[in-house]
Amino acid sequence: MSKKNKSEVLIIGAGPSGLLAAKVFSDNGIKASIIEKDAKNKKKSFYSSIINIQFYEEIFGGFIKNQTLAIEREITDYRAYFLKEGSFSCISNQNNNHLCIKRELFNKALTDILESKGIQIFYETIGRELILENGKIKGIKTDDSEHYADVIIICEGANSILSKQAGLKSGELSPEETFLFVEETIEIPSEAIEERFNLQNNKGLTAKIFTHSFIEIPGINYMHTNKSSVTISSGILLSDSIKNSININDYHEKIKTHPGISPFISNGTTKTYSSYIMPAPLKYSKRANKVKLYSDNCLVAGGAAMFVNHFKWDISLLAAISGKIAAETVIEARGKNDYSEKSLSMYESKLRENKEYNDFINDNRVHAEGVLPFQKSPNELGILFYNDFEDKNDRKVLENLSNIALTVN
Amino acid sequence: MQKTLKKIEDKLYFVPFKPNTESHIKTNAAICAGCTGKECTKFCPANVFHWSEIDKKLYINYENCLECGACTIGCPYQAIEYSHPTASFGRM
Repeated sequence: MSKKNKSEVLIIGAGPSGLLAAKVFSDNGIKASIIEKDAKNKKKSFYSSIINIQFYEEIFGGFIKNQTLAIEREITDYRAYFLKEGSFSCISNQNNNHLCIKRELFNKALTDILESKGIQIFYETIGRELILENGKIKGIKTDDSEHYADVIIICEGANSILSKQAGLKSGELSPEETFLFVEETIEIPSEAIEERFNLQNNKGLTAKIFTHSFIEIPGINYMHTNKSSVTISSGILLSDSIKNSININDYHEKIKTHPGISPFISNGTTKTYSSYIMPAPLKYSKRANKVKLYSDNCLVAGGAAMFVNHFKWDISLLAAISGKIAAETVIEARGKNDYSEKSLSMYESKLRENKEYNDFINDNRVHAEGVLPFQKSPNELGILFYNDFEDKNDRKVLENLSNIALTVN
Repeated sequence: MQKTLKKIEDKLYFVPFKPNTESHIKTNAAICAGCTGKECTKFCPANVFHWSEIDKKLYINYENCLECGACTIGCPYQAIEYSHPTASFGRM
């Protein structure tokens, strides 16, 4: 006999988008529950390790910077590496808009706050299928329970099973639309990290690594410093992995042994190895008008809605924002007592009012040719990098730097 | 010089798993037998899939699965079915 639960709002997934949605409900005194597939404090699905301080402080207040256990380092150095065969160029910028966090502990800090404010989280609870009544979504069936709600926000991440069933987003991802990543964390003493990366005590670095002149496969690669380890993630299109018969781990190893990267991790010890998929930006150029984000009683947000902006330092920022906006949509629809598809369609117009969303959906340099910018002219790669900086002067400096860095053979 | 691990198998050794008794990944034996590319045996970042020429059979080491979900998307015949491992099982 399966347990039955009923809440006003049900959120699927306690990742960046689900938690931000829950925060909006708790602030507005609305009863919301979350079902989460992982155990408490064991969140294993993908989450950016680099978070935007301003965004989280606006929503969660000053508490963010006090999470000393969850914070690995304060990012002060932003770099882009352009790898070539046997050599590399690097441009760097000093700023301090981000924190490097320990995902599990940061996630725990956020869930603790939400639970103390009355949000109920059902852990180790996996949404298996939708409960439909007259074709409308009424709830979610898990392995041993049924969760009913007036409205559901699906925040299940890129490996999305329920949104597919709900006919949301734009159907199944193809290999051409999927980036496959591996992530490896390599243990290195903190003094060695500070010396190798030229960092002050407790300050950190985040970097993008471009490989277009080194490996003939467009890739997205990240590197950042933790307290006493360095994380390197490498991603290529699944279709490229298949076409070139190259396993993503082999591609990742090529980056690790490149002379621009290997000195940073020498004598380090592998601590963790994981993999995840992320939607490619190509998605929106080809299918923008077909992406379905809402239906009767249901909205989709975050990675499941393909809201991942690879060109930002905080890659889950857009996911978090979409979760927040989905919740704001629900609150407005609640005021009208109408969770119909038509009523929830304001989700899209609300998203369009957001700057981050507009950056994501309207940036022609990023989306016009899908992932091609990664393998196109070096200048475009420079653009991708300085795109992150708001300050026009910063951009100008970076533009010049990247032009110099990239024209040297 | 470098002590970091290179091979998938070596890296997986340090990943904590609690495997269920039943696989959360299902394949279609008939389709797999007729598949020429055996793509899954190459792209999976955890080397979960192994084709045995002797048995003419695809073996699934679901115990090593990193749970990325790429297999369902990458299989050209949509013959791989992935569902999340039962709660409290899988990668820890």
